[in-house]
Amino acid sequence: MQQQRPPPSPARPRPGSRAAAVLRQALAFGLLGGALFLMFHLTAEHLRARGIRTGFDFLWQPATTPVFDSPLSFQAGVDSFAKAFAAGALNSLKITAAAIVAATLFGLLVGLGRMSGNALARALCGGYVELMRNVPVLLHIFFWYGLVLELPAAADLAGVPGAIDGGRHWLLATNRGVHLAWFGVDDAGHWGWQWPRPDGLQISGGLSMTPEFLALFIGLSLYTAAFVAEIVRAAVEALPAGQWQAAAALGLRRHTVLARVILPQALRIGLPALTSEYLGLFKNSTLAVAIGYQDFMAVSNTMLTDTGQAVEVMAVVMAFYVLVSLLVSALMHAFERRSQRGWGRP
Amino acid sequence: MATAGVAGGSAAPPRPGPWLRLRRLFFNSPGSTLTTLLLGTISVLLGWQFLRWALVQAVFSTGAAGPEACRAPGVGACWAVVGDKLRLILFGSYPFDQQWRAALAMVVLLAALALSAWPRLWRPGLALLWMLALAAFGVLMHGGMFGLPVVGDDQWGGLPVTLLLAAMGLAAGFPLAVALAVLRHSAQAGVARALAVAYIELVRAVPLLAVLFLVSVMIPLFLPQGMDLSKLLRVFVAFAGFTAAYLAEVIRGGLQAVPRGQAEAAMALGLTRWTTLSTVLLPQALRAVQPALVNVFIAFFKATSIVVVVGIFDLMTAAKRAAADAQWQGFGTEIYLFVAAIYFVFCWAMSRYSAWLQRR
Repeated sequence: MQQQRPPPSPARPRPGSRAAAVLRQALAFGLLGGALFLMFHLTAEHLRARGIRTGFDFLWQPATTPVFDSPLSFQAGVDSFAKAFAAGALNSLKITAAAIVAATLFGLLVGLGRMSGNALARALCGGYVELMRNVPVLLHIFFWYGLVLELPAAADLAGVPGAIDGGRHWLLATNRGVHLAWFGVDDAGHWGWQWPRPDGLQISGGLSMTPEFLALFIGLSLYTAAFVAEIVRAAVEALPAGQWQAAAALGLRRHTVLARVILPQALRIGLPALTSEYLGLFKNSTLAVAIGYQDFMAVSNTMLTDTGQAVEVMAVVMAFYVLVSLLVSALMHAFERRSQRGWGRP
Repeated sequence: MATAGVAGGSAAPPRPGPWLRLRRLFFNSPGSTLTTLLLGTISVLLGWQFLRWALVQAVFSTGAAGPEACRAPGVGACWAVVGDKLRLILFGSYPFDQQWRAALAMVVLLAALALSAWPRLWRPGLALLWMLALAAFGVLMHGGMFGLPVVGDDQWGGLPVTLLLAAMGLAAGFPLAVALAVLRHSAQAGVARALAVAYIELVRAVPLLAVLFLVSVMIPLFLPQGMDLSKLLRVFVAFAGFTAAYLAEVIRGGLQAVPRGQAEAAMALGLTRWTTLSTVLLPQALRAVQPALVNVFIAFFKATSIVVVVGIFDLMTAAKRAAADAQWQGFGTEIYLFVAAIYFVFCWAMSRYSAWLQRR
C-alpha cells in the first residue's frame, strides 16, 4: 500500500508543531495556574468567613496539649508548638529506628531460613512470610496492642513468683508498659545495671517501654521483617550460582561464603528495595495515631484541633515527611555509590 | 544457617527412596539435624499450646450463659464472641433489618471481581459489566429505588465498605496512573511532564494517613461554599489519587521495558501516537509488570484499613468496635484473628491469582 505522507522523524519536528507545543504548554500552565488561584482564593475566603487566624506565628506560642514519652522533655502550657513538633518528630524517628533494626535482623534470619537446606526451616519461614504480609499492618498493631493491655497490672505482680521479693528481673511486663534491665545511668547519676523493680502501682528503673510504643514496635517489626525476608531472598537468588561454586572450590566454609561472598554482593542488589521498605516503615509509623502513641502525625493532629490552623499544620506535616523521605533517598544513593566502588578499597 | 538450596542446578540423579529423601530434607548435615531438632521442638510446643487454646479448650457457643461462659477458669479461645458480633463485623452500622442488601451488594461486587479475573473476558465489555455492578452496588446499598428505604453512606459499614473502597479506588486510580506514567515517560519535557513527576514523587513521599487527613480537613476549604463531599467520597478521592502515584511508577517501569523498536515500528506503519500507545506500548508494558501491579493492588487493599483513623466504618473499624464492647471485654484477640483471616483470604487469593497468571 502506498504511504500517503511520510511519518515525521523524531529528530526533526514538523513545521508548526513547535508553535503548537508552545501553545499546549501555555494552555497547561494557564489551567494549572487558574486552578491553583481558584483554590487559594476559595480557601482564603473560607478562612476569613470562619474567622480562622493564618500564618505561622502560632509555632512560637505555648502549646496546650502535652507530649509524653519523648526524648525531649516537654511541658504543656510552657513550651511552644514548635517544640511539640520537634518532640513528635523525635518520637517518630525513635520508633522507626528501633523497628528498622529489629525488622532487618529478623528479616535477614527469615530470608536466609527460606533458602535453607533444611525443609522444616524453609517451611516455617515461608509460612511466616505469607502469614505476615497478607494482613494489614494496622491489624498487626491493634492485635499486639490488645495483647499488651491484657498483661497483669503492676499491683498484681505479687502473684508472680519472685516478682516482689526484691530479686533482680531482666524483664517485668505489665499493662502499663514493659521494663527491661539495661546498662545505663540511674536518676542519681550512677552508671551500672538498671534493674526494673515494682514500685507500688507502677514499675520503676530499667528501660521502660509504654504499651503503645511496644505494640507499634512489635507490629511494625514483624510485618516489615516479612518484606525484608523477601528482599534478602530475591537478592541472594539474583546472584549467579558460580559465586557459590567458586567459593566452595576455594574450600571456604558455608557460613564464610555467606558472610564474605554472598551477603556483601546481595546487599548491593537489594539496597534500593530495602531503602523503599525502610521509607515505607517510616510512613507506616504514622499508624501510631490509631493507638495513641504520640508520633509526629499524632502531635500534629492534636495541634490541628488546638489551633484550628489546618492549612499551616498540614503544610508542616507534608514538609516533614517529604524532607525525611528525600534525605533518606539521598543518603541511600550515596551509600549505594560507595558500596558499588567496593568496601575496604581506597 | 545452611543454604544448600541455592547452589543446585546439576542434572537430576535417579529418584532416591522415601527414607533417603526424608533424610536429605531434614538431617542432611549435623547443622541441619540440629536445626530440625530445635525448630521441631519449638514448633511442636508452640503449636500444641496454640491448638489447645484455639480448639481444645475453646468455647464456640455460650448458649444462655453469655460472655460469662468464656470467663470460666481453664477456658481457651472464646470464638463465641465472633458469632455474637458477626453481623457487626461484616456490616457495621448498616440498619440491621436491611443487612441482606449489604450482603447482596457484596456478592455482586465479588462476582464482578471473579469475572474480571478470567482472562477470556478481558475485552471492552468488561468496563460495562463493572459499571453495571457498581450501579447495582449503589442501588442496593443506598436504596431509594424499587421500594428500598434510603440508607445514607454514613451508615454503610464493614466488609462492603472495604471492598467498595478498594474496587473504586483502583478503578478510578488506574486511568489516572496510566496518564501520569505516559506523561512522565514521554520524551518531550514540558509543564505536563514536570507536573506528573512532581505529583508522583510528592505523593510517594508522604504517608497515606497524611493524605487522608489532608483531604478530610482541606477539601471543605477548597470547595466553593455550600458544596461538600461526604466523608466516604473524600476518602475515596484520597485513595484514588494516592494509588495512582504508586501504580504510575510501576506502569512507567513497564513502558521502559518495551523495546524502542516497538514505538519506531508503529511510527513507521503510520500509526498515530494514540493508537501506538493504546494498542502497542501499553498492552506490552502492563503485561510486563503484571506481578508488580498485583503487589500494589494487595498493598492498597490492606491500606484501606487505615480509614479507621478518619472515622469511616470499614472492616477494621467494625473489628475495633466489636473488640471494644464492654460485655465481651478481653476477647479482642479472637476478633482480630477472625478479621485477619478475612484480609488474609483476599490478599492471598490475589497473590495466588497473580502467580497463576504468570505461569499461564
